[in-house]
Amino acid sequence: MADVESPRAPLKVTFEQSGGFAGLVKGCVLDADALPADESAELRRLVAASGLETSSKVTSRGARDRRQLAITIDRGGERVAIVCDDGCTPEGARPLVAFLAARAKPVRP
Amino acid sequence: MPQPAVGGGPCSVPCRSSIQCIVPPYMLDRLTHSADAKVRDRAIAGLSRSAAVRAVRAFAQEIPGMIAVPSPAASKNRLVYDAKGKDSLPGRLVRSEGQKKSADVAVNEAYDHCGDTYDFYRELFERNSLDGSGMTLISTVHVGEPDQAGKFQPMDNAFWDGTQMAYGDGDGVVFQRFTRSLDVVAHELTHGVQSFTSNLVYRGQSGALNEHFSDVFGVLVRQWKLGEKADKASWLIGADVLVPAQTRRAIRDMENPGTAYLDDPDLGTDPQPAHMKDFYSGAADNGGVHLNSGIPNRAFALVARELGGFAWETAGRIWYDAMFQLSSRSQFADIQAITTQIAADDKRFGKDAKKIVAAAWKKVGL
Ligand SMILES: [Zn+2]
Repeated sequence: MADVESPRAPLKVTFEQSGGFAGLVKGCVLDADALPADESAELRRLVAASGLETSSKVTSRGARDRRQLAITIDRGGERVAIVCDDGCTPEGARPLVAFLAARAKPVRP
Repeated sequence: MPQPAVGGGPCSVPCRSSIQCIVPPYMLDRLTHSADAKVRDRAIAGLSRSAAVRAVRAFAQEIPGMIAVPSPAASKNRLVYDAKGKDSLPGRLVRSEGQKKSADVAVNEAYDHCGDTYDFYRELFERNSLDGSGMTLISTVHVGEPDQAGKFQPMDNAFWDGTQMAYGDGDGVVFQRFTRSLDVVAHELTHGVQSFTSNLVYRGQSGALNEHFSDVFGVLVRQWKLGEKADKASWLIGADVLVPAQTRRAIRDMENPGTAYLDDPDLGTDPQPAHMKDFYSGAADNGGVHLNSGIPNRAFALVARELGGFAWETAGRIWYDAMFQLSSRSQFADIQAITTQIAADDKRFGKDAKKIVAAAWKKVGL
């Protein structure tokens, strides 16, 4: 797999957050190539640190009103899709999720 | 003082629950190799205990009766904990049943609103707490979540983790303390009641019904507390947890789903459908559990207004019975059939109730 932290490696991250008590649907698509240099470097660093290398789907059993998170990491065609909720986000991916959530805008579901 | 046997949501990744993580399993694992026999024995016992705890947790959240923390006298027993801005549940115990008011308003709101919800179920439905057997009501306030730098910020949410309630303080821009709204607290507690009754699967139509029942009894507890008749009552959910702005009235409007907020810079436009023709069938939100709940929510508000009087005495009783008769995989057609059937008891609900219920479901496209 290409080193995602290299400034030339293709990287596109699609994020959707939904549910929670409020049932809001928010999302963003970040293309590392199209971001300002510092944001791009931060996204690359967070993706590399996230440990999200394989697709997975997990939910907190018995929980209600948790927020559902859907993250797709596209490294130039190599795609990893993760669906989880904010009660069972992989520990290493939490900073990435916070970064993405801060950039997500309301979307019409 | 009874302490919860378990807390936090189980998951397949390292868990952030305090009880499970007193001594991390990897550390116990290491100690099992200790040269000191005593240390080794204790570590082995601890490891099997922690494995057992994990197994019990996983099992318990499928079968909620397992994890109900009983109360000393099988009666109203509230425990309020403080997460102190972090995300470890339950946190530090700050107020127990019968203790005097705290200086912390969120603690008192959680305590009082839990009390109102307990009283509602007890007085109107003779239900003793969530499990019907006086289980302890556990709340944690001031729950936070880390930002990208790992610094904890107030959580913009309230949730039921399968064993207890958790409330954030909101960002102060869009959301305020989630304990402020009695209907929000009663909504979360009703998730608990449901886990002991229909236990509707939290996905797709059954999940939307799960959300629907929480909104129904959330709003009814508030209307009951305020003494509002159905025709004059507010059908808004979560109005008190939003920072007021021109573009938002509430989180949901049961009477007019899809109109609670409009072109809001942070919330967007209320996406709830009010009719089956706009049913959401995508993957977001566990298949739209907070979205499609708008459809039965509207049907309930229509029934309550049409029946008149206090909604908890009329429509609320039909829906309470339905909550017991539905199964975990019930769909919209099932609640339609069951509520119509329950309403046919004209001694309890009057001769027009069946017609009114059937008409309401028809109006939302069922
Ligand atoms: Zn809910």
